[in-house]
Amino acid sequence: MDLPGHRTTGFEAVNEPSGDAHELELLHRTAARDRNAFEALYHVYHRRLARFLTRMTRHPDLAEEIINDTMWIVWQRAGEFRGASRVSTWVMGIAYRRALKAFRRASVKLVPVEYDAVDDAAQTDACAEVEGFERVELVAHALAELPLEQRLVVELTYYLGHSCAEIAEILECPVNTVKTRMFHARRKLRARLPALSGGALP
Amino acid sequence: MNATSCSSEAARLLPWFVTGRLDDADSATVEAHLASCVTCRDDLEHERALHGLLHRNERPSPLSATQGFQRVMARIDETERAMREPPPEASGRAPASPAREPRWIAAAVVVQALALALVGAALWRGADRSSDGHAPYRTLTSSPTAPTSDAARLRVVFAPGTTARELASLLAAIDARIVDGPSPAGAYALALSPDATAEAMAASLAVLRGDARVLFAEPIRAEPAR
Repeated sequence: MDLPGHRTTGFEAVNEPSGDAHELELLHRTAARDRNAFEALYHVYHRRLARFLTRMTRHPDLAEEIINDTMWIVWQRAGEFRGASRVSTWVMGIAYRRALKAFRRASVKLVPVEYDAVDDAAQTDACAEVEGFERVELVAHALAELPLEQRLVVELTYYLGHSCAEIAEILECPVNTVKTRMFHARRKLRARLPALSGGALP
Repeated sequence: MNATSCSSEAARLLPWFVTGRLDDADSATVEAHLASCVTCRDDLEHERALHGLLHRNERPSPLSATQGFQRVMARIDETERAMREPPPEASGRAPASPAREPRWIAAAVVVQALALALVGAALWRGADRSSDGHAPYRTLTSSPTAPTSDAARLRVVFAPGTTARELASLLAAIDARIVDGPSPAGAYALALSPDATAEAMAASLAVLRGDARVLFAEPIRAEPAR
């Protein structure tokens, strides 16, 4: 595992609807065994999958294995994609199912290895005082305390930009369940991060 | 601090209003609601802040995309090598490739032994399977509607630890029987019903690929390996 330095965390839209046409083209070319297209698709998804799966598993090594599984399946099944959903919904659904299988296979307690940096004393300070990256850490920490299914819905909604219906498809649950999980997650986050919307954002 | 306390449907939709992922009707519902609900207006501000933080910033991932890509390509190459190996003839074994893992072969042999004992029990059912709404799987050599030739075969690798019972039930589910294998890579050749259409083949493939005990399933093409 290499550490490519501390890359800047600049803004980059990860899931623009307009990106779907490009991804679809890459997927079609992948189905025709175009390895360059697959490489491009891999790089588009690696970042999203790394974050989603690291949050889900809280274990970077396991996340890496699941990314490998997921993209291997994408290569194998690219020809079966019929465009019933967006490419991203399809890929994230595969990743989610592979992650669940990995959980069952491993059947070990996964120890959180992330978000330990912020100690409790820091959290009790007013959020409004926290700026920039620290504020991001605080949100990450609050998010990490949510139950898995709520955490996933928040990630899929706010980080990956999926709609309610798409999340229901990815997680294979009713749309109403997605809304309810998000609702509960928001209540908890709001209680945990009361002053989030106060003060200007960086 | 008062947490989200409006329980209207519009309140439940707020996050997707923030991300612009509501359809027009839902979006209009939320807008109308916001005009009259102070709680939701307050929540909206909070959700926007949350979205901004989650969407804009992220920790650098310790995972390397470049190495990850190399690993998945190595796996793909390995899979495709396994596919290209001709299934061993009954008269003799193909020479084992030195690259194979011994425990993999051992697992495959166990599966094979159990499978041979139960193959006879797998029922041959002629029922044609619909493709459950998916378009038929297309290979380079088959058209979607033409019946497949008598070589309607699949190459399949089962997960180590697959039991004979599981194997029999999988075979029964797709009306298939084992006709050859395992290859040194642990691949079996399965034959579908002789009158199986390309659609039935696609359905069988979908069943196999959707099963955790199947590591790999591909149609065996009539043409020689590229």
